[in-house]
Amino acid sequence: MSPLERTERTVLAALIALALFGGTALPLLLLDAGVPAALLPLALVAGALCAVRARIDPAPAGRRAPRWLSWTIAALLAVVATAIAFGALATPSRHWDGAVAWDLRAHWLGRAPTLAQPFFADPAVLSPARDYPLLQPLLVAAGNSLLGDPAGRAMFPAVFVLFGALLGTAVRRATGSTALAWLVAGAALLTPALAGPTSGGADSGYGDLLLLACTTAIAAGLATQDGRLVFLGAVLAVLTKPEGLPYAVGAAGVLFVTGERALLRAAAAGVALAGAIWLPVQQRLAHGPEAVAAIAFVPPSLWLVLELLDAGARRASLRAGARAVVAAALAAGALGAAWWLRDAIGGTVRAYFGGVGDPLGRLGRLPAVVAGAANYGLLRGNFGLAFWAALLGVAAAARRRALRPLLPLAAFVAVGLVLAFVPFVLSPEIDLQHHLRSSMPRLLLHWLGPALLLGAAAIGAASPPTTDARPAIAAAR
Amino acid sequence: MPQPVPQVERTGGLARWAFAAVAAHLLLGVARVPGVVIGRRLADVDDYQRRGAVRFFLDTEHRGGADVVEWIRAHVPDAAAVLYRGDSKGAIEFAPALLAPRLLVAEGLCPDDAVSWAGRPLARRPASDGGRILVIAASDDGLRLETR
Repeated sequence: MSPLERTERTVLAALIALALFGGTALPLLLLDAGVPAALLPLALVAGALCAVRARIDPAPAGRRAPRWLSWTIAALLAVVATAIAFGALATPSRHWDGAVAWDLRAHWLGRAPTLAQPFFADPAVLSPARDYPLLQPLLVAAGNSLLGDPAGRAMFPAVFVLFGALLGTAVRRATGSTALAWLVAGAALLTPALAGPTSGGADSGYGDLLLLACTTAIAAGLATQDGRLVFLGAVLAVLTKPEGLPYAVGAAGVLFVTGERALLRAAAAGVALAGAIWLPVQQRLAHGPEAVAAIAFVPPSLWLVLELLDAGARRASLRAGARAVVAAALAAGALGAAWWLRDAIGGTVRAYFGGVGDPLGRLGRLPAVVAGAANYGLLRGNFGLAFWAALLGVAAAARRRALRPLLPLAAFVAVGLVLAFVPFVLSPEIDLQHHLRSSMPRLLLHWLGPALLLGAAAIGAASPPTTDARPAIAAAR
Repeated sequence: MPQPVPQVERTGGLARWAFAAVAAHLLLGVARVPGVVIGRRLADVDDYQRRGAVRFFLDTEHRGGADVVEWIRAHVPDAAAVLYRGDSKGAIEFAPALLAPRLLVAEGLCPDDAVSWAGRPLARRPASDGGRILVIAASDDGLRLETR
């Protein structure tokens, strides 16, 4: 087995284990059955068994990286991962959301892994970010219960490494270049917003690192035509952070427009399954109305609608432009429904849609939001040259008329970045500059992996072919 | 039939610039490892361990309230519920984590004559100090201890 296949199996095992853990733990919470800590090792074993039996294509031909390059980057990353492991384990979270939201949930779930306790069940009890997803706190709590506090926080360096492996293997498979894979993985893991001791950084205790791994899994699936990665990324995104649901829906929307049926099914199935599991729990945490059972049927119903629309679009031979109009109408309908039902849904949806009494006024914020994204993504250094590399790569591929195979991935990144703007437009926060300063870097962080993968794939697509095999991103289309 | 594979090491024009951007990004990241990734992280950890969680979060230029939280931690049993009023954003957001396993309960949702909440006694001043029920009064940048 080649190093690439071995790494891909390990990545797949980890993603399956996380999805199995979350997919089992949340229904148990909903049933007030309690989540046994042993579920975590069981999920890890099941994930490993599934990955061992999974079909992994042989590594595509390509040039190997110079040994000095791979060893140098590996050694550097080992140093950084050690620093992050130290930062994660030496103290509890040292930044705002990590301390007030994520650690607090892990604390209460560690004492009693159930929602049937006042912290979760009583609306009078102060609980910042009340309806945030619980996958990460459950993982930390299970780790702490099994191995003692703070062992659960070892998930942060573990997910950091998982993210790097996911990105590196995707770049290798998409471009055929091992050297580029090492360079991109190294660049991603050394990005200031991720490696630095800052809000949203790898050991900050925030959920952004895990969500970054999820978006990168979806992007890797798009780049390598691997529906398993798309499915697992979508499932985990929904279970990780509130932004994960729109991101995964965005992936499904992009695949509907580009007409990639197998990947569309994977994304839509992931959203439907995870949404059916998570939304009832979210409703309960937000102390919403007694629609808990009914809301579980919404995501699968929307999946069915999407399947029917896709079948209709195929019969009518709709092109991407017409499909985009349908997708835009659906998105507008979804936003309208969220606004209409904001009080019934409650929680984050009510907070963001409750104040939209002046839609034009809110849209007036858009230029400042876009300027803020450019400032934090391209100019301030939080992301080094990562987004510049993606832009230059896409420009290079476009110039060589080689962009077409990259369109689903490019559209996913573009849609994701647009979705990252939405909270700033809708937010009740009055001080926009403060909101941009505190949140924009973290929202952009979710797109670091997909953007770098896009940049790398674009570099590959724009480079002159010289040898005797082709990589996945070209072979698949 | 064998197919061509892009050799990214042999790129031209914009693709070369994109490749250079990835390489430069990596080098910039490497340059930050000693001072920021390791140095600042060690300093943060040291600061947290030296000052303790309460002072680390609530004794800063922008946020106060450490004295209130430390007093409650020292005088109120773990199994108690503590009332709060005022802003639910700002310094008060740290209180549930720093006071856990005590619960923070919104005063407005707790009847005036209540002495317990969810089976937990409401936190009080010591009997020698009147024994009145405590309320944390939260503002954007700090906390005060009051009674009801």
